[in-house]
Formats: sequence, C-alpha cells, structure tokens
Amino acid sequence: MKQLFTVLLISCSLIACQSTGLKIGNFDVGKLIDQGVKVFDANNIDQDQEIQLGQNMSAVLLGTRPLYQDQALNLYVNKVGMWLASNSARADLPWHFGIINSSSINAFAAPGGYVFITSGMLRQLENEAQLAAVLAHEITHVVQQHHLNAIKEDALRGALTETLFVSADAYQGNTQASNKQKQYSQWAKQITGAAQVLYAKGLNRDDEFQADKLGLRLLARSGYDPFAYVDNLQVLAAISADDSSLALLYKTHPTPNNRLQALSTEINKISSVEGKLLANRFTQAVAK
Amino acid sequence: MVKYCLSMLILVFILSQLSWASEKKSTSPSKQKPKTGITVHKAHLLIEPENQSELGELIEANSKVTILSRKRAWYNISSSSNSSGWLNMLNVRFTAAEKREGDLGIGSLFSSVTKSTLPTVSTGVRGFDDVDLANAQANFQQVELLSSYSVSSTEAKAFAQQGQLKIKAITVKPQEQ
Repeated sequence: MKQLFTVLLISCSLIACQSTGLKIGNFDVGKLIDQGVKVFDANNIDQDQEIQLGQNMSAVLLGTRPLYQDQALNLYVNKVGMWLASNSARADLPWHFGIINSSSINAFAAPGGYVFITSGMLRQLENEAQLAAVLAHEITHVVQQHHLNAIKEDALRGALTETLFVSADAYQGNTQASNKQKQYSQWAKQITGAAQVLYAKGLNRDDEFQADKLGLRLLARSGYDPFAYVDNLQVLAAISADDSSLALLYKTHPTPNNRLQALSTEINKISSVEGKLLANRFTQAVAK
Repeated sequence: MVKYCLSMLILVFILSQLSWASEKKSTSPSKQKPKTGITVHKAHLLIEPENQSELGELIEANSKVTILSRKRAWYNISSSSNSSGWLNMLNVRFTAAEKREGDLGIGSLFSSVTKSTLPTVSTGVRGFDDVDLANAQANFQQVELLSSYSVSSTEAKAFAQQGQLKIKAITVKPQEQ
C-alpha cells in the first residue's frame, strides 16, 4: 500500500493530477500541488525537504520540553555549534542550536541542521571543549544524514505517513485548519508519531560509533582539545546506569564504556594533537 | 608621584600576566579537581605523557588511582602506593560520583545564579523519557524562538578568534593492517 502511495506521490509531482480532488489521508494532494506546495517522496528528499523534516521533528522535541530560558546562554551554545558546523562538510545548512530545559542528560539532532543539548547535560560539563564535543557528535549525525536514512528505511517499510514532509503553514492553508481544530491536532499527532519512534528507539549502534569517531575529528579540526570528548564519556560512564536522568540516553546509545572502547583506535591516531579547553569562557557564559 | 606611577605600572603588568596565564593554551596539563578512578588493564606508569616515554612502576588492573591532571591523552595519576606518573586516559575509568547534584562541572554555578528556571536534579525541571515523547505535541512557536538564537558563520568565526581557536589539518595515521 505504501509503495502504491509512493508511486502516487511521484505521479502527482509530475502535475498529473491537478485539481482532481485526490486525497491521501487529510490531504487534498491536487490542491496542494496547485498551490505550489511540494508533497514529496521519502526516497527522494532534497535539502529543502530535509530542512522541513528537521523543523517538524524539532517541534516535537520542543513540544516535549521547551527551550531553556536564557537567551545569552543559548547564543553562546549557537556560537560554539556554528563554529564547529562551519568546519564540517555541510557548513551551508541553516544550523540551529538550542538548550532543552530538562534535567535529563542527553543531546539530540534532527535533519537539516537542528541540534539540541539538555540543560541537564550542560550541567555535567567543565569547559567549552566538552560542550563542543557533545555538539560535534550531534552535528555529525546531521552531516551523515543518520536520522534521514533511518526515516527512509521506515518509509520503505511503510511505517511513515506523508505528513512529515509538509510544513505547518502548507497544511493549515490547505485544510483551513487552525491550531484548535481537530484536523490540525490529527496532523500534528501524525508528525509526532514518527519523531517519537525515532527518538525513543535511537539510531543504530554503528551510526553512534561513527558519530563518535567523526565527531572527535571535527572537534580536533576546530581547534578544541579532542580528548575532552573522552572526558565526557568518562564522566557519563561514572554516573550510575540506574540514574533516571540517563534513562533515555542509555536506551538509545551504546554504553559509555563501549563507546570508549570503540574510540580507542581513533584516539591513538591523534594522540599528538593539542587544542584548547576554554574553561574560563565556558564558566563565564554559564554563570551570567 | 614617580613612585606611584611606577607602582601602578608594575601592578598593571602583574594583572595582565595573571589574565594571560588563566587563558593560556592548553598545551600544559589541564587542571581539574582531583578525581578518583580505577585502572582497566595492567600497565606501566609513564615518566612523560608520550608513547616513547620511559617506563615507571607497573600498576595492576583494577587499581585505585587519583587523577591529578590531564595532558592530551594521558592522565597524571597518583597510585595507592603513592607512585605517580602518566597513564593513557582510556586505561582509567572514573569511579562513580557519590552525588551528582552540584558536584560535577559547573553544576554549582547553575545553582548559584538567581534564575527562576534553573534545572537541578531534585527540584522540578522534569526529565525527558520515551513517555514524555509519546505525550508530546509539536510546538512551532518554540521552533521560531530557536531560530532567533541562530548566529552567522561570520559571528562564529569572530567568536573562534576571540578564543584563539584555529582550524587544524588533522593528520590521521594510516590504519595498521
């Protein structure tokens, strides 16, 4: 059924069914195409669509917990993150970095350049290099399109709905739904479903190990002390696995000890690299 | 008057040196509050933090150590027999923190600032688990707020320059067969 749906979408994108009243779920697909709104295929996503998807998934994350209410601190995290991202292979993305207000120790990424760190994670850190290490890991997920590939795999298995790939504005324009109307709630619920699944189960372990390895290199390349990456994992490894603030992190990632073991070869390759910790700047930023 | 000016000059000089020293490049060992740890494997302590160093005392696996500082990939440790030297950081695991709240990193700084929404482990800011995710509603207003925090690559580069961060070409040794 989902394969048929995919074929239909491709056909519609060729303007073969304008104004036919073709509906899929709550969407009048023909009307959307008439309005110039792209309704696209999970197997063939361009950068604009990737960014839209990331925005939708970020809305779910921020619907779980809001941003930490400190503009200066959020700006500081953005500066660290943007410096790292500008040294990555996808510096051209419209990167966004935010602090999620939660005691949980975790960080998240969404396609198209969205990266989040919890305030609980931020509390564990000692210097700017450790913050950069967390962000470098998440940036690598975006650069390598790990979440996007996981979603594509889900789409092939028929586990996705089309609403992931349409913006809120386009949906509201099409159905004249407002935030309070049932249709919008239903649409929002469908978006949240896919994001919930992905963030609750996590990426596959190989993606996490790759994010560690390439994140470590990005950290070093950006002038930070790359061994701060290992410091972070050491601190996480020392916190009890039963600690509830780590529950989701442990569920969705390999254990810190496994990650340290997997990084050992990479660490030995760059053992002579030096860089900056910037503990004072970090302390000043969080104490303001 | 001359003595006063001279004293002020000396004071300014001393203060400028202290300011420089606090932000100096971390080629010197990073100073950390001493942590305790346990060794993973049996290994010799190194006299210097480098692979080609002379060897010191042999430390058994599961030995308790105090971590005094770090330089690149090596911890400067003190063993239970009061020997000191350097160990590869991957050969040490920190022992479990007795109490996380306020003890690690900048946690104490968070709690000392008078902001109404500061997170602490025990007071109110909630966690983030799969149940919370399951009950979430998409919040696009927060996404708009997130966008307001974005900075340009030019701003980021200026920020990096202020911190004396320099792009490095990382030469990775070829993997051994």
